[in-house]
Amino acid sequence: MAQLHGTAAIELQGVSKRYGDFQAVRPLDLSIPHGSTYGLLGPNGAGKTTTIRMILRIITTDTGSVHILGEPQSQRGLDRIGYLPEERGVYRRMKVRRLLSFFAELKGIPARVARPRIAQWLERFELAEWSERKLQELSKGMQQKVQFIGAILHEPEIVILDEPFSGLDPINQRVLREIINDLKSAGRTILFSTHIIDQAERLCDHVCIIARGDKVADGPLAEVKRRHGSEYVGITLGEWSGHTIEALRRLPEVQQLNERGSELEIRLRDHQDPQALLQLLVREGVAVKRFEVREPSLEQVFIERVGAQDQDEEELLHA
Amino acid sequence: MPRIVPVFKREFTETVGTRGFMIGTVLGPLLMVGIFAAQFLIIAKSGGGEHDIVILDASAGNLGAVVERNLEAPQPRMGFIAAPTFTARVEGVDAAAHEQAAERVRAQVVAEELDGFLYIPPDISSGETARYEGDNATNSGAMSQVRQAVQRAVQSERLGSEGIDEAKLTAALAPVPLDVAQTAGGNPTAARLLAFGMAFAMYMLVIMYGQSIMQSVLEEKRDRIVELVVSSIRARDLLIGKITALGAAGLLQMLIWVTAAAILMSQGGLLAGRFGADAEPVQMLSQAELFPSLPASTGVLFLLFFLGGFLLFATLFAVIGAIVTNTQEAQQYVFPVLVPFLLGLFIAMPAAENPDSSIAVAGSIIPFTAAMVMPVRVLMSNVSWLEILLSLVLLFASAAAVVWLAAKIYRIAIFATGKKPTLRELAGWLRTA
Repeated sequence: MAQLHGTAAIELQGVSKRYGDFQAVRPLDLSIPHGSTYGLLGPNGAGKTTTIRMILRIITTDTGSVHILGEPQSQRGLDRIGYLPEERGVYRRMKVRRLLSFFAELKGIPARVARPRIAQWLERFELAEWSERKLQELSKGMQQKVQFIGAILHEPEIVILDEPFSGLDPINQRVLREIINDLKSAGRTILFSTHIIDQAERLCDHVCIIARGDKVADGPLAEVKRRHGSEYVGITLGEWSGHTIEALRRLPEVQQLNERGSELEIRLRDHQDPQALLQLLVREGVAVKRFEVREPSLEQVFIERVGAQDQDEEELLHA
Repeated sequence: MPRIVPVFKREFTETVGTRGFMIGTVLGPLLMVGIFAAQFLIIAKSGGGEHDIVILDASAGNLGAVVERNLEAPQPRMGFIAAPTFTARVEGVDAAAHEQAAERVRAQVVAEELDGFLYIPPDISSGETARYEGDNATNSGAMSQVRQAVQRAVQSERLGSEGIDEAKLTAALAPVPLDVAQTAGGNPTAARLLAFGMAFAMYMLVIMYGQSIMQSVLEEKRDRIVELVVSSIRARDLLIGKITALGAAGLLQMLIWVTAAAILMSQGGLLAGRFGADAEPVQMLSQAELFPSLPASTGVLFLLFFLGGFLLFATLFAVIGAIVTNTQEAQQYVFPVLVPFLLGLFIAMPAAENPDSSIAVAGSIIPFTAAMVMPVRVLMSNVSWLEILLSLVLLFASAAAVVWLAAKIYRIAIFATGKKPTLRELAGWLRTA
């Protein structure tokens, strides 16, 4: 069985979910490789949380199958996942240590095994002296740390984080980034959803962009960028020249030109050579301070892909 | 299944470990003892009171003196309450002038020198009305004693005038004792008492712990913890763990109370003595056999029905908790859930009289009333094991069905925040879950 599903830690095949008239997730295939840090990106309402909840069996799938570590969804599979939901809550009247022990027991770790781990983690997050206090006596930031510990206490092979950075103060954002990096170097598979693309670009090696329940891009980060195709050229002119700018704009290779003071940002049409621009500048005898060919940022890929998907939808509506 | 254990452990320790539970458990019986003792003191101290009256006698045959004798004779006490005592003085009056005499003693009543006066008219034996007036006319115990005193005096005179020996008549009219017993089982009073006792215990448990279950489900939703829990275990297991844990906490509390009550009952005479009351009636009460002794199998059966009934209703409270978004909203749903419960009680009471009526039979099979009705029928009639089994199976099956329903609603309701769902939305949830 494990062989069939190869190296994927989580594998979704044709998974979909509909709420009444609203198609939350269209049939979706996802393959999240072992040991990857996988970003599930998409605007609000794209179906990220619904997808995660289907992976965790919190809601049932309408169609399709979910495999975790090569096996169909089961209690055993769920026990090997750590989850930090977007809506993070605690039993406010419980004591910190008791709550963590409860979380561990829910994952099948006996209290006696969990006890030393809890002590270690509380120590690491400087919460040791709070272990016998009730959660409601803790600050929001401290509660968040307790929630992180709860998600990883059972040493899961897969960690799923839904919008992990939302609502965190900068200090806890750093704490969380440290945890993610630790998990990464320990070879754990991390799936996290976010609509903050910047975070994803910094942390992920794989991304999947979904919009309106549909997948619009998927794969290793570098490949997604490469496949996106368009290249960008940044030019800083020695001296501003309206004539030159107009000539550049008229070039067939140029799709879009934005002026930002003396700096020009040019988006080339797909698979066009930036050399034509350089030749034109030389021909015109314009002084060039800087000429730089860049790959698109994930944010640009995201905005263009999600935008294109919106456009398709418009066209479908008006057809 | 084993994943129910951590939920049970958490809910049970978090409930039993709270100060509220301990205070409730200790204060409950203390309050009971307090009310018991206070009532006792009040009744024992106040009793029927002392009454000083004048008898205005216009009768021909010296009836006033007989009434006086009857009134002043010591009366048997009525239960815990001491009988009223009378001091009477007879004053012969002329029938024509009785109004003036009444006027005079009325002034004494107003001046609080007297409690009241009784006027005996001349033709009282042939049906003329006697009259009592006083500031104690609202004391029902005292008034019934006055009425009896007059009646016995008049009756005795009537018998005498007809030449009948009063003692012989009394002997002839002595009541005949009749022992009544239902062929299959105990007496209806005991069955009613048992039905009422069970229904009351279940009511207490459901009201107190059903509400806690509802509250706990609601809090888990409100505090955003439920998503984390159901990402690890099934919603159904979470609910079962919660309901059994809170039910166990409730049973524990009840056990403590029943034990306390039993000790109180057996030591009641001693306690009453400490409070300065007459110990005898309390001792009588504690020695009386309130419940007929039951065979162990019937006891087990009752326990099963009790647990099944609690499970069913407690789960309904869990459903409420899953549907609503705050406590105020939840309150509107509590009554509809209690209606079938009360219905069960209404069917169980007459079922003690008529255990095989069609409504009693139906009530003992339908799960929502079975827990109250079936035990009464078992006690009062020869119910076949097949019927009992059917009733039990239906009861537990519907409890399981409600758990399943609640778990479904629970999972969906996690994502519906803010407003309360309409019935249509609820139906939609059930389809998509």
